[in-house]
Amino acid sequence: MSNELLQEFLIESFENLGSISERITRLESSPEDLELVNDIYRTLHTLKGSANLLNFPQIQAVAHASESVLDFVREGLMVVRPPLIDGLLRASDACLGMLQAIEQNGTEGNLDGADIALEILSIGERTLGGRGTALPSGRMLFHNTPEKNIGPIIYKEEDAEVKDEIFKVAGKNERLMEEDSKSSENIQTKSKDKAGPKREEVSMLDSSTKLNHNGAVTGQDGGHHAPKKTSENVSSVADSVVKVNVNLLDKIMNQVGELVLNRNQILQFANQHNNNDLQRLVQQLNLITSELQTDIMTTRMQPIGNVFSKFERTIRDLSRETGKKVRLNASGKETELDKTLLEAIKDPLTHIIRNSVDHGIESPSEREASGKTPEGTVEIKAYHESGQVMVEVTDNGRGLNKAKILQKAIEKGVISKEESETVSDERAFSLIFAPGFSTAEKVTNISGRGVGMDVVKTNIEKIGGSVEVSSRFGEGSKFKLKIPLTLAIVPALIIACGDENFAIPQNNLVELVRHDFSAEKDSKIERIHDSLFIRLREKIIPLFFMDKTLGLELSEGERSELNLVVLNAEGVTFALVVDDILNTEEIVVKPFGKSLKNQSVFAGATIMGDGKVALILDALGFFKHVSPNFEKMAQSKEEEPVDLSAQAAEFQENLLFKLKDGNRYCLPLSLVHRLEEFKASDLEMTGEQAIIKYDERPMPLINIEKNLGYDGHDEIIAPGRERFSCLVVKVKGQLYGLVVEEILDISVTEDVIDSSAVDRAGILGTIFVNSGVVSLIDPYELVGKSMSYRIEPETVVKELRGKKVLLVDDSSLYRKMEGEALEELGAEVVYGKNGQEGLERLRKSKFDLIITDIEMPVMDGYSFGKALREEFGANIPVLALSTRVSVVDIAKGKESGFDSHIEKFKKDEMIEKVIEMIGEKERA
Amino acid sequence: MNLESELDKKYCGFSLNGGHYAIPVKYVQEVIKPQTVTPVPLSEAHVKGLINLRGQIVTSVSLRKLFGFEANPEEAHMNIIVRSEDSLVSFCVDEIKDVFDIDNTKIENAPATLGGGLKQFVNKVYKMDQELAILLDVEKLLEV
Repeated sequence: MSNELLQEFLIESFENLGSISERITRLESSPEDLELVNDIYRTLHTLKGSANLLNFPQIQAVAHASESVLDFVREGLMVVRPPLIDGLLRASDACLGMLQAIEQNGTEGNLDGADIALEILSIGERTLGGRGTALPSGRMLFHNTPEKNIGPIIYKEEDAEVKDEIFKVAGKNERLMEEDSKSSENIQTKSKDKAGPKREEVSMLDSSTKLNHNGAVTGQDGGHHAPKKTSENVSSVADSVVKVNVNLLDKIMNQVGELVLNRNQILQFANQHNNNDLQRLVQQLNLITSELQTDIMTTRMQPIGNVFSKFERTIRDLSRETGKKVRLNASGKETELDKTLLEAIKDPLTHIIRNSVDHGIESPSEREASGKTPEGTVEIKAYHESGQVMVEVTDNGRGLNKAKILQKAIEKGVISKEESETVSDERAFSLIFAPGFSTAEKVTNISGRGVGMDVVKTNIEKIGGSVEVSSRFGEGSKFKLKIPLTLAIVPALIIACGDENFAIPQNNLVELVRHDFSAEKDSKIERIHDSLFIRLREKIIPLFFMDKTLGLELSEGERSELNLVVLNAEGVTFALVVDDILNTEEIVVKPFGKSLKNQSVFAGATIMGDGKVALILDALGFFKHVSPNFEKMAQSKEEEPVDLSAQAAEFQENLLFKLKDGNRYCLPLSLVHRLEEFKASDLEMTGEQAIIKYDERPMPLINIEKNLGYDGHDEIIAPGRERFSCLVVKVKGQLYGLVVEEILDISVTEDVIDSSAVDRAGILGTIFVNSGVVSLIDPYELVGKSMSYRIEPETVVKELRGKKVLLVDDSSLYRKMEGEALEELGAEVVYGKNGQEGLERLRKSKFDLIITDIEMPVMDGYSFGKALREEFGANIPVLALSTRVSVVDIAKGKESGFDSHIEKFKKDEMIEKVIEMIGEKERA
Repeated sequence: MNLESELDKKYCGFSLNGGHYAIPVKYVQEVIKPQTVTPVPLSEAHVKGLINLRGQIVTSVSLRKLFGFEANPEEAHMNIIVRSEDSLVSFCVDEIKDVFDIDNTKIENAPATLGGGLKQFVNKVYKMDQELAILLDVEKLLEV
């Protein structure tokens, strides 16, 4: 058998069968459509004939059986019923499977054609059974061994009737062979009739016609399949169709790309030479090239209906399997997409649709109970929007259950419990795209097979698209896929920075902002240590200067305004300061060579109209570059963090104030002794140190800005000021005055102190206050830094001299604060960061008293209390400090072995209690 | 003798920092004049940037930087375009010299004393009439 003939057979058969399942499904909804029956019959007949010609008996048998059953329908002996449709679908699947096997290894494979053929025939037999009509083929059996292709048909019963049938069949086959050999030259043209683009081939059509999947060529009317068209009709258009290998098309594309660049260079050259003839010729070249480029691009475009047509079948199978009633509505089939992209979205789209039927649509009874029609609908809609193709899959099923999703997400560790309480619907729904997530309670073979929506998301994102989900509980859900028109061509914003141009893909772009310094008086840009942020509609967005970050030539001169490009990548939003925003352009993405593969800031390069190479910024890569602890931050959320200044969220009061740099800072209120205002004229200098008389004693004043290492703040009080504000703090028994520009407010937060952005000593971390970021000052560090001037602390009675206290608290600030107070009284203080560490300390030495915090990581205060009572008995007094002291808390504390339980931050009360408890213990 | 081994014997010579170097001609696609280079920020020092070669993006690698030589005052350099699997790399050299057929008997191992940055890329040395030509290992050059 010639290889070419086999190839021809495969191509033709794949094409014919490609659309058959869709046609069969359509037959189910319009069983009276005899034309459709004929159409399917013809396809099967052709398949049978060619299979016979090339000696593929199993395909022949299956096709023959299907054909025979359809014959009954044609003759009106039988009506189309679901079992028949099922049988036909199985048969067409089997044929496809065998054809694939032939393509791969030349044989029909292990599928048992006989079984399928028998099954189909039995459908016919059952329907006609009672009538006794001769059903000769019903008695056909196949002798089948795994190694050997089955031989000719063997008849079980040797009666004359059957013999006749043998001859009939044989005769028919002979005729077919004749027919086929006659038409073998025509196969090529014929296959073009029905042939759609398959595998490596797409068809090129003349410009008046549009391509569509089945190759049925239609005009602009968008009419899709043309089964009712007579074959003459089709063949007339078929002459204008030529099959072209996709590789060749790609090559032509590349060539045209080069031509375009060459044209650009000639254009530039022509502009330099003032020659009218040259100009005219170049203009012409310009036009022709552009047109050629567009035409070549369109050859790769295919209507999305090609993919949709497969879903008819998917939905049908699924609804039968799940016992649900589902109808598919597809619109926008004519929307065109690049072939590669079409291939790429097929699987994700199938998955979404399966998901909609499996999880979305309810069972008919459930639907009726909630007042819906028993039949659910899944709607697929494709359309163009803002240079992208949108594909929406909407179902009117039960919708996403936020509570259930969150519960699952917490279980899977995708989201923390705290986070889940405040999360928006949108964010909650998007959790279904998290890896390993599936809300189906039991794993079905439809969806929820471990590979979930995360694969959908990754695959769509791989081709530069995105997927969103919205839902109303009880009413249905909608998945919206945004897909670029072509893979290689991306709409991008071109910006200038340094001396170079850069391209930023539009899908990362959120907005462009022009920030005017003079008008806004810098109020919108905030500086937190060395990091810049911009306030955009009450959101704080990190800000980066592109030139500085990338080490480019810095633009000269003061900027009176900034061009900001706000980008979003995987949920991270940040702003980029660029020199100039130029235009948007469709760029062709070219990957980097090997030597640049390992850098992540750029996604590739592109060639601009002038022939220059421009780099394409990878927004996520850029962000990872500028904040290398981005991933660390994400990780540390899962791991046990080591030593942040406050682990467990604790409610605290902070005093907000402003410094000379215009930024807001805060100090825990519990550390502030008093707020005072002094006259500038009362200030005295002792060497470098500013002093003021306070409470009849000299008090050192501290220049916070200078101690934090900010430049240009050598003057402790801005010149010309008559009065200044001071926060009086008590550190190591000594009062210090922290000079501030303005005292603002007292805020109550329950926020965790975030120490990830701390870049200098003297700052404990940042907290959110009224949606702004505020730095928390560490007064101990500041005072320690400016100890150039010392005053003997006022004498205190060292009531705790010689006593050893164990202090367990996870916050370094409170450790310091409470510790200082105890040390002031002469106690020796040993520290632990959590209950676990406390127990270790206890094992090493003896203590007179234990003071513990409640909220702590690793081991909290209650567990610590219980554990220490168990291990060390009831002798050591334990004092618990907590931000919350309710009756319940005290009871729980008692149970855990605390002797006393007092409110945190009340230093004097604590000291009193400590002295009292130690005294009691000694008396006992 | 077949054509392939004939080609294997041909080497393309060039000069760099006063030295004579050569790479097998079979790797070389073409030699082009200096091009406009788009620098790639944050890339390694020896990556000069990207050039547009008739619509293809080519990474330009400065052999001087790679070998740890002083940067050329850079008035003129030539680009040797080398094929690397699916992409192209351009090696910037000072000057292009002759293409010559190699005589296997004149190939010797590289002296162990060869300078640091260069050493890992040197395959062998070749004794020419007047001077030594250093035969570079293109595969290794392409790996950087």
